[in-house]
Amino acid sequence: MKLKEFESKKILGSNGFVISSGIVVKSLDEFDGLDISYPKMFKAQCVSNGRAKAGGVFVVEDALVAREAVVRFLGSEFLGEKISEVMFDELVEISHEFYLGVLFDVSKRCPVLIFSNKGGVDIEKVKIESPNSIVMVDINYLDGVRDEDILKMFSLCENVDFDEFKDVVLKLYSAFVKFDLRMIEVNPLVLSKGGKLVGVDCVCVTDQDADFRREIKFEDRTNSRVATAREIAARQIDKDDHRGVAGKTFIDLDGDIGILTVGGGASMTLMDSLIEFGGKPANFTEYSGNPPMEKVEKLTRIVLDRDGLSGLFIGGVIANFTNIRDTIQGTLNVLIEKKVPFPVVIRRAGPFDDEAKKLVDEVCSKYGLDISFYDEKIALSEASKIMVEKSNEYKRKIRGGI
Amino acid sequence: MAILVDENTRYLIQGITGKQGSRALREMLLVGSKVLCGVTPGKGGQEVEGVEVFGSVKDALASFEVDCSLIMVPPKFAKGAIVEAIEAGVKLINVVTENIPVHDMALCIALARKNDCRIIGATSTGIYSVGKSKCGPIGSGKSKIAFSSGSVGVISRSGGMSCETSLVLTQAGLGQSTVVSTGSDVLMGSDFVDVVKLFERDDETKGIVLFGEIGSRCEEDLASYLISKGGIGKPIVAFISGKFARGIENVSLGHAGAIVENGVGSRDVKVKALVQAGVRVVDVHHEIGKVMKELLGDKSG
Repeated sequence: MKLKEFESKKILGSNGFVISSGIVVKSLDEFDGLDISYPKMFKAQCVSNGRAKAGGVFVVEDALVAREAVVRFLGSEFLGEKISEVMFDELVEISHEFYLGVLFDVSKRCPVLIFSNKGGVDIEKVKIESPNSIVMVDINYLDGVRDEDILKMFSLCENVDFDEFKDVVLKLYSAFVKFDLRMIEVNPLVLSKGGKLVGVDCVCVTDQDADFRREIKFEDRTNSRVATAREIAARQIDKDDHRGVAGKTFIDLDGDIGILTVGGGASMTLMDSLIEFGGKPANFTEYSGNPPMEKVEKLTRIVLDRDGLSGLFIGGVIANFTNIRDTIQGTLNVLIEKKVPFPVVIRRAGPFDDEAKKLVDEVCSKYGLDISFYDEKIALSEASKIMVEKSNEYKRKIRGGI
Repeated sequence: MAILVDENTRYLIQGITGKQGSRALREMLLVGSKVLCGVTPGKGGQEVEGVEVFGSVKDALASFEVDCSLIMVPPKFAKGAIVEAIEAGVKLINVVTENIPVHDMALCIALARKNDCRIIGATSTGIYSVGKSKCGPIGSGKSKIAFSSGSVGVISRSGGMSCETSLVLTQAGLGQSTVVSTGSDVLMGSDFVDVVKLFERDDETKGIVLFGEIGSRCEEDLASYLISKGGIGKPIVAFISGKFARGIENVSLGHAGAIVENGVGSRDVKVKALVQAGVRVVDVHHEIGKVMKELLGDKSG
């Protein structure tokens, strides 16, 4: 999870790294109760890139301008995010700006330290435009950062004290390890007029698999986009019941075929093939790990809680342990209740799939629903094609008024 | 022949007394895999399905010689288990555990390199040399019908799709030599290049099928390797999932663990790189079988 500046600075600062210590404000009341001196650097707190260019970072000269900025930003949408915090950061007198970061090189499968004497700008651009002002050093995880690694980066420095530089690099790297980060970058790392290295902005990406042992906890955000009501409702299903997974990932899309996929890799393939054959998914969501019938029922209800659907597609690969009959029963309960007029295509195989098929056949004849059940004899991507064809046929019928 | 595991491979299962571990053991025994011993700290002296359990890898290796350790322990204990196996001298480790912290894998991978040990995973569903031996839960229960023995090597970043990919090959009349589920973690113990190199040397493998995903540089790195070698003399067919993710980048896609960040590791980039390297990329998954059959021609039997 990508952290906001004030959260990232909490991590870096706790490790003894010298940073500009901004004051974080979460409400107007909080601002009005503050006694701060000006000028300050106003910074909207968000995870999106390019906030300075978009007008979210600027100098405020006095309390009046500062208050106006707080009113304008707090609670409003900026770069697609709702702003919940703003920061008044100290102004550091800049002598030079550097970039310093560490992340994993997924090809070499080791950490890589990145340092540049052209800080304060997009590091990707620096890499392309002036490759000589950037140094990347692979780190052997068993050895950690060695003096020779630091010397390679120090070669790009001027007027910087080596011991101070070494201290800064080691503190950054140890924060990377200690706080289980996927990435940490300080940009700019400023050499102040007083000759000191100060981190002015910082970004961390945490590894959520290590949340259980990280000493500093952060509020969970699955993505930077503002979640829709259906997305929040789907995630709640998983929070309320820990048996299996259902609804943890839910994305609203603008198509007309409702989706219930089973398992990560399969869900991607299913979405892709549906699109390949001309179908338009109305959502993306998945369940896995043998969730109880009630969880699938709740998730189905959310998927179908939408106008203009022309199909529902449920698909996964051959399951090892998930009970096909029980999970399908969860979906059937909602289909019966809503008397869905559109076609439903199911591609599921695994434990109790024969019974699931029988159940589907019974429901179809009893309630007059159009549900097709396929097992492993029809490939997942072939079933996607059938779904698209049936959905198109349904739309033609509706338009024809039959 | 096959790669990684065959009828002679002797296994150790770490976490053998757990629900997942004992289930994998039963499934492995069903296909004749030689599971010699297991380890669960504090449970030395017990037995599971007649297989002896030890309190540590060192204790187990004092009584048995093994070629491969299967890691079936919870994520919090995975680093300890993998380090223990490497330090005891195990040369092949298959990690099925999911959600292992990335820093733990960074350490394990560095240690494995130093000790000439190969890691497959984490988040692997196993390794299956069809008709010979298997490691891990791959091909359990009904999903065993997806696999058939033959000459196509399969490498999949998705556990579930290693089964579906084998299924469409089987339905096209193409059996598999070895199916390798590499997992799709940030740091992969073995990536596409590592496994393709093994298939390249395996006489029994006539063609290779890849199931790729968005995120990481796995496919791009393979493309660079193939170009640097001028091909490997065996046809490669790939399917890369994640087309639908175009335009909704930066949204976490659940189990897939695939996050497209700023175009790096996007499907378009991967497909282009693979095609340039001579790989046949199919747009619809089940076409894998038909296309591979076409490319293999006489060799498909």
